[in-house]
Amino acid sequence: MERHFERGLEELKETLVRMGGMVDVQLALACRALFDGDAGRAREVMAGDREIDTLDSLIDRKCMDIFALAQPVAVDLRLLMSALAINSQLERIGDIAVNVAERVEPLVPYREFLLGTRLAEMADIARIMVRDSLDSFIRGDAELASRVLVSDDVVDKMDGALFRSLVSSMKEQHELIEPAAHCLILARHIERLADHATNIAEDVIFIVEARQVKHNAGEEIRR
Amino acid sequence: MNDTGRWYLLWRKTKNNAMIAFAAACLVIAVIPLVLIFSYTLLQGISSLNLDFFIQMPKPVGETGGGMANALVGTGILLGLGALIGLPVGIMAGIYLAEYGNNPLGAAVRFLADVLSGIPSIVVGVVAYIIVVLPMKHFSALAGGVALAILMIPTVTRTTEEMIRLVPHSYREAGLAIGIPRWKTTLRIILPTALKGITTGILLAIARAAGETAPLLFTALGNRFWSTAIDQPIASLTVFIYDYTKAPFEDWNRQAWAAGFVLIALIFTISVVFRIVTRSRYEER
Amino acid sequence: MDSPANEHVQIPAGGPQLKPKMVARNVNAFFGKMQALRSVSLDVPENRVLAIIGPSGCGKSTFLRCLNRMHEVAGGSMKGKIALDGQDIMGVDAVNLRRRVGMVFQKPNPFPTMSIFDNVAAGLRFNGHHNRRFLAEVVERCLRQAALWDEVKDSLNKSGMSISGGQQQRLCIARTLAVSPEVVLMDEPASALDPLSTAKIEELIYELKTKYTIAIVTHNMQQAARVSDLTAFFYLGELIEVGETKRIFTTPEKRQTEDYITGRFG
Repeated sequence: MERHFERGLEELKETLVRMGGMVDVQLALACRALFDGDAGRAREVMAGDREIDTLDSLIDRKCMDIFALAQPVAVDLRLLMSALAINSQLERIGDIAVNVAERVEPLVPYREFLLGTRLAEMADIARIMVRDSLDSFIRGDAELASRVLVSDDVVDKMDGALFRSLVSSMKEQHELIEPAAHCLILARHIERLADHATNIAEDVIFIVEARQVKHNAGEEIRR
Repeated sequence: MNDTGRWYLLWRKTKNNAMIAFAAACLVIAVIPLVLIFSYTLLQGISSLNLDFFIQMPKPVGETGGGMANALVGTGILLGLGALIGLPVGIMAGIYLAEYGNNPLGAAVRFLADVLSGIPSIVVGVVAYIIVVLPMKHFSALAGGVALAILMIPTVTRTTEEMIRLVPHSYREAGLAIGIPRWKTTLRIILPTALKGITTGILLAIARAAGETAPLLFTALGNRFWSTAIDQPIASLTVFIYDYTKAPFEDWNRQAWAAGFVLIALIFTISVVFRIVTRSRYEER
Repeated sequence: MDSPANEHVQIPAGGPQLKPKMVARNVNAFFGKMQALRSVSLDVPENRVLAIIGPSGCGKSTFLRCLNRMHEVAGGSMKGKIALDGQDIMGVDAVNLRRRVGMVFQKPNPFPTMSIFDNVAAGLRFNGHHNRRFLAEVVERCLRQAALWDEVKDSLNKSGMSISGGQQQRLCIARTLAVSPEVVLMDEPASALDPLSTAKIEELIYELKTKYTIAIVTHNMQQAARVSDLTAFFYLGELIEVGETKRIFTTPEKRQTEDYITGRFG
């Protein structure tokens, strides 16, 4: 039997999906701006974050209303709790896009150096992780979510290698310290991206399979 | 279970069975008078029970045979008149008491109805004599009907009131809440709901009236000839039984027994028929 | 959360742009010497569901019954003013008022001697409508509105008592709708029913509000939260707080309201 508050849950899901779409676009724009050296696009990204923040507040309010008015249980409850968490992750991903955009201008003179690192590759993987985690939420696909968890290891390894490479560059050529420092920070941002995507994937598994895979509990999947 | 437990169980079971047996015995005792009356009157009057008995008029003194056709019809007419006058009055009074009677007037009416039900039927006959026979200057079926009506009213009133009070208040509320006026709610919703119970009261009243003899003596008087006129004396089963039992003729005595049996059977049939007819058309699941 | 004490300020429907269908101002209700309502002022907004909550004996049922003058049936009296579409309800015939303001009760009470069809048609029939086709149309329309048509369309001649409790309650709702009321009052309509029937009734209420104005008394707060647009909290015969349901159940203004809603009462 359909209950009228189910529409509220549907709307909530749609809003989350919309926010995810916006965040995805922000990320794509930011990376494009970074590797193209496009300062104008970077400014677009920074302006676009406001809309994401608005959606963030809206989703929080909607969740509270549904909790108060519909007293959800079981899958509805898990959906709602995870919606709050995913909302927060998405908002932070949006912030990361802004952080990346902030690095565009300072790195414009060092484009070659930038393209010489593996940052672009890392960024691509991280963006795919974000997109996949959102897809898994939309489709309720725990399988896909599990694959996202596995990718996190790849990103971590790349991050480690990049760190060592950048540090040795900095030791060898002191004039590269500035761009290398920016790249280190960018690597941090991208690694965070992967973490947020992982968190979203874990929440999806919680919703769909009622299994809590966060923190240590997730080890069994990664093996 | 240990031995003591087993003994207690046995004792309880024995007590239980003894009580059931006792109750059954009481049931039998209660039913015996009815069975006795039925069978005795039947036995005594069976020789006179034939088709003629129901169709023919009483024969002149000295002749054997004949019937009580006029008495049968007369009783029917008298009961009909009594019901026509007494039932509406009683039901309406009962409705008034139930719906609007929580006041001193209602209490007074209730008290008077109880008093009325205790008045000896012969006195009621005298009253009917005074108010109907004297002004009309002769005995009549109408007077008999009035007397019987007066006898019916208290029973019908009290039963109607009780039964209507028993109808849950929620039906009243439901009727009022959809904009049905109070009186219509009472008549079209409450009354039908209470109908089964009210019928019991009506039955009791008719049964009592059917068996009355004394009041009819002063009002309907009796009639050896065929008459269905309301303003003339009319025969009735009870007066028939009275007359024929008193008479010295054996044939007449036997006929009286037969009439007695018929009267009992009649009352019995009325009860059964009423119950069947007013059984709710819709049975609950 | 606590507001300054301002009991003398009128608290209407707690929402702008809501046209009130019924307006109550300074209503005091009495049963003999006992005062059941104290100076209650409340609007019932059109085409919305107003839920009235509060502990037992707080006067919520009494208030509801004042709205269609059913309190008089139980021997109550009222001071103050209640208006329907601006017209004082004490100035109109009570019978007519109850055709415009219908009521559904806690315990389903279909008329026992009537069929399902006759039950729904009762209000119309007893007010002079006898055209068979007209009645059949109305009965079908109302049974559909009450989400009962599919379940009983083949057994309209069966007794009104032959269906389940939840169905009986929907039958009572259909019966109320048949006289085309503008306002439907419901006094704990689902408290005697099982959870599935309760859910059906709740969905029904949600559908009905597009056509009718609804006021429902309930002791089940979660039901009030699920079903209503506005919620009014009564306590000891007084209206404590009224407002948009969303707000009342997330950020109520009065401490008493919050205590009651969270179950910390007493």
